[in-house]
Amino acid sequence: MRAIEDKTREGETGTCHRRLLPAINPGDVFFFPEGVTGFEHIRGLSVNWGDDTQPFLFLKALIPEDLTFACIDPFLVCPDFEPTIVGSDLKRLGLTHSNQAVFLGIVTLHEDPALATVNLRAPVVLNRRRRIGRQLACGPAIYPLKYPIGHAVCGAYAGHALRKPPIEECANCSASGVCSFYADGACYCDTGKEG
Amino acid sequence: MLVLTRKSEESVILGGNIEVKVLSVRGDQVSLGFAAPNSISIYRKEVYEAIQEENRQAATRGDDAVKAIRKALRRNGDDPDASAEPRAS
Repeated sequence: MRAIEDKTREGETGTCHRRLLPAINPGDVFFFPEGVTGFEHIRGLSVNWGDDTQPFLFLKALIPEDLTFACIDPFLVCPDFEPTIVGSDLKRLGLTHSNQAVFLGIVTLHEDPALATVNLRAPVVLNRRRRIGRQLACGPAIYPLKYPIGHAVCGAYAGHALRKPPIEECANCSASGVCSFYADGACYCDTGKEG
Repeated sequence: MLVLTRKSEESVILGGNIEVKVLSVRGDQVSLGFAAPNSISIYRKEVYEAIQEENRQAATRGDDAVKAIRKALRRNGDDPDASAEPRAS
């Protein structure tokens, strides 16, 4: 049990950091040819994060408005997340292959932090090499606009989680005392058991 | 709103380089084909509006988002005075 807990903290944390943070430098500016949906006039956005606000990142508009979107790695929240990038979307981003894409889910915060949600329906997709970004509805349509994140970030960042997860539903995690990922009724701990 | 009437297989050109073609009409469903430069995104209106509304709810000003997240992360720590330790990646 101890081993699983350690692997959960180190392994899973390592995974999510490897996926996103090393690919982007804090302060990198991205050109969004069509802004984000509803904010098409905002063409320059920078990606930032701080140690004390991880796992969240911030997509900050340069001009003309003072706007910031809190974001999170969608794969951290939903490990099975499988966005569909079609050929025309790749071209729009100047990518040759979908595995070059970096994904950010825009987070809608809430007064009760446990009710914060992430937009999995339309993530921000970045070409980190060419510093181009777009918000794409890269579905499938089953992914909601409001996917709860409150529980999912708990295990990897236990101790400064948004809310302690309901670990009693997974026999493995309730024994170890920590849940690696728990979102939407499923537990994504190392044993692969469904909660 | 400009109103044009088209039959199956007829098209409309926008801005000189966007074509919208009526592919078929079956009952009350119209199948439309779009030919446009890759730089132009095309959405069903209800999908566009839903994403737009979600973005509006998500957008924050100044450092409201940073503050809210710091507060939320501190609130659930076992030690309310402990600062979040950065994890090695």
